[in-house]
Amino acid sequence: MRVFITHDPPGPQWQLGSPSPELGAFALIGWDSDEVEGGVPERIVNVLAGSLAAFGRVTFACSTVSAPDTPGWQLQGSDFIARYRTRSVLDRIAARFSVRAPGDLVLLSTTREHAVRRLFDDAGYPWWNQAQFALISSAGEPSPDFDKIAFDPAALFEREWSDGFGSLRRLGVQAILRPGVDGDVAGLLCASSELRNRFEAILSRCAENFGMSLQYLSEAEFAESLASSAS
Amino acid sequence: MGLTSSVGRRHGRDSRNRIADQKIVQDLLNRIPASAGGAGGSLNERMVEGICSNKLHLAILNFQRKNLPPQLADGHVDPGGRTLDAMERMAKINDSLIAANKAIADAAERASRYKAKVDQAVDQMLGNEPGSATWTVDGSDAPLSGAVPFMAGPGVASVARIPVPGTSGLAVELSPRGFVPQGGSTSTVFIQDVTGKRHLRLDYGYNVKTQTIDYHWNQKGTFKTFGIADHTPVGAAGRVAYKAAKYLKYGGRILLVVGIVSDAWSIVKSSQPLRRTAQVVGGWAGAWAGCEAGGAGGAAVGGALGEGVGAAPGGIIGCIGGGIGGYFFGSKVGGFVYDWAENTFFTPLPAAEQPEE
Repeated sequence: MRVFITHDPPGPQWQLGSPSPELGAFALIGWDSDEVEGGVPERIVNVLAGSLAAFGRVTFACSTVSAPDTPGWQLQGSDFIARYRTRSVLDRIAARFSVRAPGDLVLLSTTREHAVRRLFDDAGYPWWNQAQFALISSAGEPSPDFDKIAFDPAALFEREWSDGFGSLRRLGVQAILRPGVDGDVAGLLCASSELRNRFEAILSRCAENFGMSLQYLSEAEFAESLASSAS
Repeated sequence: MGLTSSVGRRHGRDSRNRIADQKIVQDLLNRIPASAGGAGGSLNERMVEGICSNKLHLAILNFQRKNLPPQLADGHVDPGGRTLDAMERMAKINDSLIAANKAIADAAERASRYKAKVDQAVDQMLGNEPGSATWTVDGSDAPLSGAVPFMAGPGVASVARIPVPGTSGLAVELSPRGFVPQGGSTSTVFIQDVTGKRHLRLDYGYNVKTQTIDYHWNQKGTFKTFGIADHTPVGAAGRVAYKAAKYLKYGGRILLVVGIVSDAWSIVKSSQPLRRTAQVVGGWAGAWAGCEAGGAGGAAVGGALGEGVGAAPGGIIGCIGGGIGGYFFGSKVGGFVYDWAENTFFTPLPAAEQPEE
């Protein structure tokens, strides 16, 4: 079992848009697996969740926590939760049909690895359906300014999600992780190549802890490796 | 009363010829037309006890010669004999012919009346009828819901959750669970549990296994159920199923809306709105129940024939058929229940005295 990374600009087949190098440093992350069941394999979930939690605070859409209908972040244990809710009935109907953004979006902000694992298996915001995102900020900093995220949550789900990274950086977001085609790959956009290197170092350590290796490949080799994976 | 004694003459001698019996034979002969050997209503003789008139005797002989073997033409009628049997049979046939002719004549007369009304209506519409107002013919009198059952089947199938027996809660649906973002899944057929976490879906797009854009299965947690691995390409049948499901998803929803609106309008236009409402509600409830039941049956059959994944087309086809049949049945039941309730008098029971402690 391997984790592989390419720094080549992603092709359209990965369905991750075209993140501009001016916005930050991009990495396409993939894996192979000997598991017959689809979805992100359990061991890969362990590696990715461990790496993200070790990297910093992770904020993502979560349908399994109940959030009060009050503005801003609410402390729940050691995590923060916030609820973005479209207020007007018309807007809710529009949200239902527009598929740009959910009318009711609950965000979970955590530094716990166990909580981050939900990112890959949430029924309300399925990873395989590219209905997820993970905003990664410094663990010592508070959660990103909710009001500014909630100003346009649709931007986080769009194909050109990387376009909004500039404004998110100003909120303290250091990186975004987004699922690619069928959730079989993940795109990581970091604010700088130093941050990307730091994440990859953490990822490499986590992979080793689970008996896996991290390989750097060209995009063509990356695609071949995915194709030759058993699952 | 039947014949009790012989009527007529045999070998030149009168038979018993009771007046009541003569009347029976004369009546039978009168009911038979002359062309068939009867008297055709011409017999009206004065009857004498014990004596058969010449006219009646000749009429009996004439009937026997035309309808019986020659050796039986003896000029008299015995109770239970072949002559009486033949007379009764011929009289009945003639009665039936007369009734049929009368019905035809009545229908022709009614048709003639209707034709006159239609002619008058056409004249009014064309303004040929002096002093008449021109009609506005807009089809508002036509029944609106005749096609609704055939909309209900695919309409319900496009939104229903069709259970697949023996799969621990999986069901066929045409939409995924959870939020679908712009650029999200292009799958059209989902066999999934209620959360969508465990699913098999028919997808079209880039396949990381084949490195091409193709039709393929994707799955999560259903390999043991269907034996299909992630990214397994599908053949021509899968391509057809993908497109059919896509058309059903959107076309079915349009039919669903049109069907509901048509039914609502039929309630507004009905002379018995409450009864029509009962029919409509029963129809849609029946369509839904029929879809679920027919879909489950179709999924079971399709799954058995198509190695598991046949459950999807089998379920959808069964659901459409069940939905159409269910609408008809439910609508009938709704009308029946309304009629029953309307014709039933509910008598309030008098309040009972509270028993003393």
